[in-house]
Amino acid sequence: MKKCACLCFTLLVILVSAIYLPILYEKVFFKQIKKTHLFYSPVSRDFILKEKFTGPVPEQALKNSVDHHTGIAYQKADNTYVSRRQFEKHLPFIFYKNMEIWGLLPLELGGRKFDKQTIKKNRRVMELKSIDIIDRRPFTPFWPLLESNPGQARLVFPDDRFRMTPTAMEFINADTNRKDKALTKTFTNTLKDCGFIFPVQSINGKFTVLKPFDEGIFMVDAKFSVFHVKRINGKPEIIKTPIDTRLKTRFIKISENRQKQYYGLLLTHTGQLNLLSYDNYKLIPLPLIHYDPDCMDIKLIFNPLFCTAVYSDQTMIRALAMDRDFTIIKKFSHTMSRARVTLAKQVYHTLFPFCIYFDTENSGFLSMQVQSEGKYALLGLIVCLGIFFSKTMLGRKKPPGLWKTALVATTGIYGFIAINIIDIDDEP
Amino acid sequence: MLKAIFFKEFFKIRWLWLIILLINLALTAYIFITTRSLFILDHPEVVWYRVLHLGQIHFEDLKYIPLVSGILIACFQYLPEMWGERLRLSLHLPISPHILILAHVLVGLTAFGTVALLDLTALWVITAQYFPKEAVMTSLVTALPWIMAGVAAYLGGTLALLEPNFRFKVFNMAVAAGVAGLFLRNQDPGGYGPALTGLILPLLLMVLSVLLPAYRFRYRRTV
Repeated sequence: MKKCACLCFTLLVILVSAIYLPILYEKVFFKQIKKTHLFYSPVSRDFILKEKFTGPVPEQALKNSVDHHTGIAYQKADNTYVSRRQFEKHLPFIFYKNMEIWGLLPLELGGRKFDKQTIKKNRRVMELKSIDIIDRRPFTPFWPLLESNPGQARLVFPDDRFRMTPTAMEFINADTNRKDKALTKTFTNTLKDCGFIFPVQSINGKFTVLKPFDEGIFMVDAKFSVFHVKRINGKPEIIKTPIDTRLKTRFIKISENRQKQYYGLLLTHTGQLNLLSYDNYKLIPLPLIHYDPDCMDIKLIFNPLFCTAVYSDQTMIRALAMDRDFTIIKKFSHTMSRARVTLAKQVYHTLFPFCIYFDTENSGFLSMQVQSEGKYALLGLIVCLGIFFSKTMLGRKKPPGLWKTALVATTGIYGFIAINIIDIDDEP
Repeated sequence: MLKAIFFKEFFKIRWLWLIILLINLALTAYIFITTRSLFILDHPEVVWYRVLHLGQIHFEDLKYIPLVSGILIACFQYLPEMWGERLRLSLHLPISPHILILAHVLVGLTAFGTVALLDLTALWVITAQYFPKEAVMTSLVTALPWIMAGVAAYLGGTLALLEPNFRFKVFNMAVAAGVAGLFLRNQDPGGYGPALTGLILPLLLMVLSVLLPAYRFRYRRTV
């Protein structure tokens, strides 16, 4: 039993140190660098980025850092650096307020003139983070269905919320915390009449009153048909959309916008991202390359001339510049400065043969993941084993036992700490 | 023999355990009052929105009480044993040391479990009173890691208090703090859900690890 207790405590020490020691090291030696910002400039017709540097800052970037922090670079796709002011001038549709202050409006691009109102009217940003996807975050399956015709300036929450049971759309009154039988019957019957097949696959909508108007929600039924459900004057208005069931809609990110061009973004089960248009729910597939919705965040930046799709994981950032018909004009990919292998990172990977990450990366759920950097980890294990052997030989004049050697050989510094702390040989 | 140990432990901690139980009861009553006041101050649909959609935790005051309860139960149970070296006498009883220690741990965990059960039941009742059943499930999944932090605190307290060597005592405390910390991350409600099963492993390791300092205490007295 004593051996069992020793083994359990050893494993516990290894587990705890493999979680916390890397965190401690990261806090001391790593700089937390945010992701690079990448844009397509309608002025230079090329990509331009803003990036915080890891490691030494290039001389040319330093020269251009007169009006901002030296660690931040404004870099063009041809690897030349510009000042912050020049950077903003390259992106007049984003920094249009500065353009106005600097007297550069209206501006002329591609034979067209753009004043402040035109720019404002045609600007839009749509975003889909991996954590936004409904099956990648915790949520309570209980939603509000807003009144789309509130009869007043601002939207308000209704007195009820609904849940989807295997057979009904069940409304619960918030005042009484009881089922609203009449409303449940009305909506469930209307859904069934429209061809909705229970149970529901997903409920998609923007569940807030902080939006200009309400477009209702999109429900995906058991056969992957998509239904547009609205509450107008307290009554259901349900449309079965012509969205292809073979796409197996996974998630729809709805974002109401006064432009009324697109309801939002629709993600299929194969990871294809589409714009969901107001034109009879027509889908516009985005020609994204190497896009993985489960580990990447994507932004669509619309301006009067172009649409730029920018998406990134933890190391790479990619962008596609498209015209307003979503034909690719230019592509760009860039390894972000935050991914640079610094000396601190090399030491980290050598010192810690593996790390246990207990975090919520790209998801709203906590999970444990073991990560290891092969060649550095191997070097670290050999060094650790060497130190362990030398220490034991010097101290006890005899080689260490087999299981201790095996433990240090497989767990490196963690096993070394556990063995030295627990000091099992001294036990009777 | 085991029955006698259970009785001894129960009689030792019963009054102090009752105080912990009452403190927990008072806290759940406080949570009931604050939850009720949320609904008095605002429209129910707005409170539902804040809690169910924005992730406001209406019972956040409960977060650290299981942790404190776990530590206190461990202290009440083992400090008298270590101060008076009474455990040395117990360890000479005609029973295996590991059975003896595990019996002690079982009593402590039962005491803590009763308190935790009270907290979870109260949370269930309070949430069900004001929110739909989906919220009850989310609340329980949110509070469960805090209860597990309490178990880690109790076992960690045992690990540290039974250890005779001061250096190891500090190390054991650090390990226990590390394990308890795993259960106290700031997460969206329900964020711990899929990880909860895996997180039972460090607690199981802790249960058997507490035998190690007891063996040290039994067979060797180090300063």
